[in-house]
Amino acid sequence: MNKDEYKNLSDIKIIEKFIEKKDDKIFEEIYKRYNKRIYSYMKRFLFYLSEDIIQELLNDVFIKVYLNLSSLKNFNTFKRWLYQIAHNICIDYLKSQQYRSAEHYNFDYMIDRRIDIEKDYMEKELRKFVFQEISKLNDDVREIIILKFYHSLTYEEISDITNIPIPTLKYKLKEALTTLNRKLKAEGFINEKL
Amino acid sequence: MKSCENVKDNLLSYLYDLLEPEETKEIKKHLKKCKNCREELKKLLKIRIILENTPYDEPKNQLEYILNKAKQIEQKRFFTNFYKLIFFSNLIKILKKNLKLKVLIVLLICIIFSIVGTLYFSFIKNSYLYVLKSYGNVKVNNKIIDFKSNVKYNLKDKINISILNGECILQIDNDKLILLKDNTHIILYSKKDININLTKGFLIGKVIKAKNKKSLIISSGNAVFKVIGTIFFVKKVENLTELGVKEGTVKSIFNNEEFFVTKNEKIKIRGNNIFLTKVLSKKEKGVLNIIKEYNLINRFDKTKKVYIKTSPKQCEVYFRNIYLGKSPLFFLTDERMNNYFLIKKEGFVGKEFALNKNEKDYVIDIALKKGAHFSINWKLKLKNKIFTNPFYIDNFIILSDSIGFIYKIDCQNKKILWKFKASRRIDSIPLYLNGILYITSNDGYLYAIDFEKGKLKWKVKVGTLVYSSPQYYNKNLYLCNNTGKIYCVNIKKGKILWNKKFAKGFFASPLIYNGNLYIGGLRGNFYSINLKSKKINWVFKTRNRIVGSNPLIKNNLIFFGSNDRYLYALDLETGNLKWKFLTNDAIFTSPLLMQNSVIITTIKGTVYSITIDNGSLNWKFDTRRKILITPYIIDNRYICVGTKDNIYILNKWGILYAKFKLLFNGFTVCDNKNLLLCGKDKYLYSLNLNFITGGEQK
Repeated sequence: MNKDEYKNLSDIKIIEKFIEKKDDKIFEEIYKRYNKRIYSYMKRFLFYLSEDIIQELLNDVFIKVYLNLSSLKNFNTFKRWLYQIAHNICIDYLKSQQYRSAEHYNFDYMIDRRIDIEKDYMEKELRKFVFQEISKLNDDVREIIILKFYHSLTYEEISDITNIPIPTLKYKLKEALTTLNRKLKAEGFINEKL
Repeated sequence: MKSCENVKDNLLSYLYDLLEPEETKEIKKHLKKCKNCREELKKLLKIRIILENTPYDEPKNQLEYILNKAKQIEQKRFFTNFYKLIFFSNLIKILKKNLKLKVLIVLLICIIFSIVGTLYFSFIKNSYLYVLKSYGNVKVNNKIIDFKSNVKYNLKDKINISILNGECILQIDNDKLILLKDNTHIILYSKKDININLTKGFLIGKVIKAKNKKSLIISSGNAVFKVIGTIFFVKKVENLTELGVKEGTVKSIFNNEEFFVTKNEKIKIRGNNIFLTKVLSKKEKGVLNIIKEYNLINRFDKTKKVYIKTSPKQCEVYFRNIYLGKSPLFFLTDERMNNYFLIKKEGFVGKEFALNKNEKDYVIDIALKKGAHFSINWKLKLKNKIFTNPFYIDNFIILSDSIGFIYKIDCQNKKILWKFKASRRIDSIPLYLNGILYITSNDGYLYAIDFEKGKLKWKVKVGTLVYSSPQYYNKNLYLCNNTGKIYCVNIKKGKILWNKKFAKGFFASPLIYNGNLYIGGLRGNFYSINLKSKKINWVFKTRNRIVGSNPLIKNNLIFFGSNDRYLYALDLETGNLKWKFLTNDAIFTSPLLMQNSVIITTIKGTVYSITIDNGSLNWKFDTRRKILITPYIIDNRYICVGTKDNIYILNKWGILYAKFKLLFNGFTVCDNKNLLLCGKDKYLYSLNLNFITGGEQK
């Protein structure tokens, strides 16, 4: 079979085939599809850790996926399940390590390198500012924002992943967003014309 | 309809689907009509677009590593599952086929469980005490046990064991061996853990099975300890308890603190202090290591390490807390007491003993307290009882007995040289001047006696009762009597030059300084009298009478005690009060000087040391017995206090280090070496106090 054959399949069918055959190539397809998402989620959630550590954590996530995929019952919830594993591994790591506060870190690190290519200076600045403000938030709130906007998950999925009930999740998000909005207004980003 | 401001507030939550469906409908309606709000929404949308359009980061591709690791873990899992499957599936298959086997196995399991259970419970319910060996007087529950007996007791009841002479080996449940030695009284209680209550004596034990966590609970005095260890010993001497453990844990029940002891460490408990010390091995000769000290009550815990460079064969450690300026000091001495070390609180740095005079005192005190003893030099029998203190002059002793005889005794030959008969007994201290002894007696006479031959030179009647000893000033003798008169007597011929009444009565000896006479009277007034003009300089009033307390002068201050419980310090010239110190009872003895402090004793039996400058308390020591004799100061370092039937020797920091039980009426200290005692059995004793001055020990 060719590699391209798997490319057009949906998630559910790929998982079914993987459980049947346990082929490395099928797993490679899964890895390629979700590799970047999980990495960027972890990197933004725990932005103060070094890249090597996050890479290790990512490897742990996919090892767990390889071993435990057969125990997944509902294949529709695969994405949610993957995020759950990543979340749990992050939290376990934080518990094992006494992580430090975010104040001592450079926020330039947060900016994607490809942003430099963009010509609009204002947007670049705005992006940088938003990242800064997000990184100042508490871990749990930051995780919600990341999952909601960067990964565009639904509230139900987020509450499943983080074990926070939906109303409190919404309340936290609203509070964080209003403060962010107020700060943006104070800096003068919002009043600029489009 | 909603107003524009209301909508603007909710726009953000509308944008992010945070609102309830009814509210979203209303806002949608409003947005269709209102332009401003739409523009506002566009601005907010900008952030959302930025947030959602950020691309993902790319990690390194480590797929191979992941696959390898995952397969390794899978293999391990597979093997464990495989073994489980083989064993259990086979058994289940066999059991399914054979019904007989099934029944047999069930029966077997039941039998094994029942046997083990009965054995286990029987051991727990009845624990036994075996007396393996014993000799001497060993009593168990008031019955004397024979030599080499092997007796078994059930530990359901209390068992009292007391050993007067000899030894005894006990065994509890084949696990624990206990060795008891002379003078032990213990009580055993039966529980899962066995309680031992040691009331007195020395105890060595051995716990063999430490894994079972059956432990011995040892209580002695305040401290109760749970010992889970292999070898331990307990020692109880009066109020101090010492517990030593080699390997194991000691748990204090007082506050559930646990101490772990490893092979090379030793734990010692004294009172409420716990010391973890390192046992010296042969390689580490002379390195002593105190690891931990812990106070159970004050919870004052210090981990410290002390290294000392010496090579004593056996380094014994005497721990002692001395609270001097709130800092405990520890001292170490080796066995021969040649090397001393002082460890100070700060830093706990071991320091070779610098042999400062002050510090040397500490060490000698502590080293000798353990072995303080005295030996009798000689004793001499007299005819009558003696109630007064002996008086010591240059190897001779002047003594007066109850009838009125005055003796002169030679210290070296232990012989009575002469005796002189006065009509009544003598209570005052005699005065020795130029070969003549001046003594006042209770019959009202002042005698002048030749010291060598014991012949009377002259005598003069000075009242009916005279307690004061004569004082010499300017070729005359001055003394006072019970009627309140002061006499001036010529020293050569014994004629009364003048006498004058100043107060109701004097029951103390006067003191003459710079031509002034100082004395306290019966009505509580303290006088300063000019001897030339025979007039009173000043008077100081106290609240109660002054009896027996002779004044003391130092640094232009005069000290005296009164029956109103105060020690007074007055200015010499003006008689103004400098300070006063309140004690706990009336003062009958005179104050003594010792290194910038005044020593005073009260009738209740407490010894106070008070600084001269402020009148603040240095220390106090409670003997709890009546003190009527003024103490003696030995070598400016020690205080010898005599109560009714004990002699206490304190050092200058008020710490007791020797105490002798003796029956006596009076005593003095001569030559800083010997203690002269007038015993109640009509004997005069001379005791050796060599250990104070650091002489050789026997």
